[in-house]
Amino acid sequence: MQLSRLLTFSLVSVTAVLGIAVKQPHISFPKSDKRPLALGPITHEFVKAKKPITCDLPNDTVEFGFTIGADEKPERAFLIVGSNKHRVEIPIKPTIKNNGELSMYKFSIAIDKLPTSLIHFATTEKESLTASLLLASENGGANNVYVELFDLNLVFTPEKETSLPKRFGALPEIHHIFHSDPKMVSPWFAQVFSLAVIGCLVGLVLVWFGTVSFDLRKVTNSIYSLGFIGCLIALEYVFCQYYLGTSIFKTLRDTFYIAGPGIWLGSKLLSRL
Amino acid sequence: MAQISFAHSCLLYASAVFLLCFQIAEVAALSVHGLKTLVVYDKRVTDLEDYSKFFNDLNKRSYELQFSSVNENVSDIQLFRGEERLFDNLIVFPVKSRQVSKGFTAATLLKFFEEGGDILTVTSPYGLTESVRTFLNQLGIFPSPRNHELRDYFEEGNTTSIHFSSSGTLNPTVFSPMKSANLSYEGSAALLDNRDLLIPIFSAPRTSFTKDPKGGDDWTVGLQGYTVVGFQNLHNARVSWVGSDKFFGNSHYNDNGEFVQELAKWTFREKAVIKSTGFKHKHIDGTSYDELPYKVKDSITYEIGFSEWNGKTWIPFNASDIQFELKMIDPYYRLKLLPVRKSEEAQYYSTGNFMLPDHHGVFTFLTEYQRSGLSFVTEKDVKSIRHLANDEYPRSWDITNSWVYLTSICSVIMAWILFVILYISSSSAMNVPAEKKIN
Repeated sequence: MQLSRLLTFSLVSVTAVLGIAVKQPHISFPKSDKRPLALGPITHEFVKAKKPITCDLPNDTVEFGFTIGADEKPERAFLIVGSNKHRVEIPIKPTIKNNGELSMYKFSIAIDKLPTSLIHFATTEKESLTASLLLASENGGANNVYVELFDLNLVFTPEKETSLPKRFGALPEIHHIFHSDPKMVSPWFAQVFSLAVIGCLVGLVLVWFGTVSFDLRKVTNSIYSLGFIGCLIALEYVFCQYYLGTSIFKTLRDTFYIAGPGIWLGSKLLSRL
Repeated sequence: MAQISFAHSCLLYASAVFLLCFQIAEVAALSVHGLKTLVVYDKRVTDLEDYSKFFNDLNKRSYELQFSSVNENVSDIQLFRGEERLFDNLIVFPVKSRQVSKGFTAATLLKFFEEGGDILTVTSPYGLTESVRTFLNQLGIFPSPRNHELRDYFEEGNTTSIHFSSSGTLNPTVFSPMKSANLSYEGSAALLDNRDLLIPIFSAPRTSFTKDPKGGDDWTVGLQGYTVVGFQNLHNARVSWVGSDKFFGNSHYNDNGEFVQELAKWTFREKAVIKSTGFKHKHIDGTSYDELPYKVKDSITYEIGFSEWNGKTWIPFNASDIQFELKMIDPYYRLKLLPVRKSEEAQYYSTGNFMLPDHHGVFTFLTEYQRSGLSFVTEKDVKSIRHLANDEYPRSWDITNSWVYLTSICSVIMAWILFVILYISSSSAMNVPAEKKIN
């Protein structure tokens, strides 16, 4: 039923372009089960098909065919598929079968044989490709036809990533991504733990004062004990200075100056304990 | 009376000398390089009288034209004397014979071009010598074979006489699409390689094709073919190819003249020539790199000036797509340069302030402005960016995590000193008499 309607419509759409009569222009899909489409009469005023042809497989094929009188064959017949925006196109030659008084022209658009740049425009940039028909002869005058037939949408993801040839131009901007700052605990959290440490120190000191009997006069009465404790405090001071930025050489020198008397005072003190 | 006449003569003489000096200065300033031009032609194909308008225009612009026919004194056609390049420019009209001379081979043409010579090549379906073809092929321009003609069956009348509007130019730098002219073209078309150094200027019409009238396959179909093509090498020397000698002829000069002159100006570097007037980068407080070398995360600014040759003098070059790159193998920054100030000769562009990466190493400060049709500008400076010194990191008290450790250290020190004091003061031995202790 569909086929008979198609044939009827195709016969009705027999076209006479002045001299050239393009008969039964139609689009078919040999590699899929899509139904063939008949096109309207092809004249100079031909209006491109409103609905684009959609190809959803990388190895799809779209065929465009028509019949023409054997004595009206144009010298040049091309189906030109390309991107109007980027002025990139590929001409496709027809296969011609002569059948008595008629010649059958068939143009095959094998999607996997289209240039990579066209595949890129159609898939990555989502641009419709346009198929145009060129029929011309020398001195053809008004008989020569160049019309856009239909748009072609490729709605698949190419198996290989496509790219365009390198051209001069501005490149995408790049901004360096810095490493993130090191993570630090919040100050209140650090302060809580610091207070806990101070609490331990206070507790320790309180325990010492509570359990040990001592007489500070034993310290103050002995020059050795005062000197030894002074050396200890001086050493800690030198280490603190080192932490705050004093060089290692000055630190070693100061330590040497303090350690000598400190050892001598310590030995004297220990001999009296 | 005689004195007045003498003074008048002196004045006239001085004026003439001044005018001559001015003209010499103007001549010298016409192109950014010399104007000594060799025109190679074949008498069998080209009658110079047919191109008088084109040559007159060149003469008016002070080009020193030297004509050499391949039919006589072939040995005179020399582009080099030893290693010295004899001409600044070369115009090659169609040559019918396969070979020209030993001094005019594809290798010589390439050498001439690589060493800064500009070349305008004009071929026709019946005049394309092997040296020119091979030279063009090396650049990625593949003119159609001998006898192939560009045809368009949609043209009225003569199908080899192609007409197209100059507004369809593919490169607005070479010829502005705003200047509208209907160009007449009769010749051949070329296929092009996929190279960014090639500068397509006009493609063949959509409905055209290039074919030998005697038969055979098409060389080009539709937009595949190109009729006018340019090429600029990395040394900014330029080549143009036009597949039609009649395109330059007097008969088409009313239509094509303006475009032909613009093409000649572009080819011989009278236009679309830009240069850098220098760059500098510094800390944002104005301190230079020499005074204080960069370290990671320093804030700096980069500035570069661009000038354009307008045929007489250098003027500021305006563009919105100049980019700066900071690279160490890969780019860490690629920033668009913005115009900041202008002088009589240059427009200056800047990155504004930006922070150096947190990676140390040897970086390249690079501005590489390469646009189709314009001369290429590359400015680069290699500088090291050091890492932080050990006293430039944050101190431990700036780090909250360390507070507990600092408190612990202080506590241990205090506890230790207190322990020693308590130990000494609690010792019973301190009260023991010395004589008892000895016993």
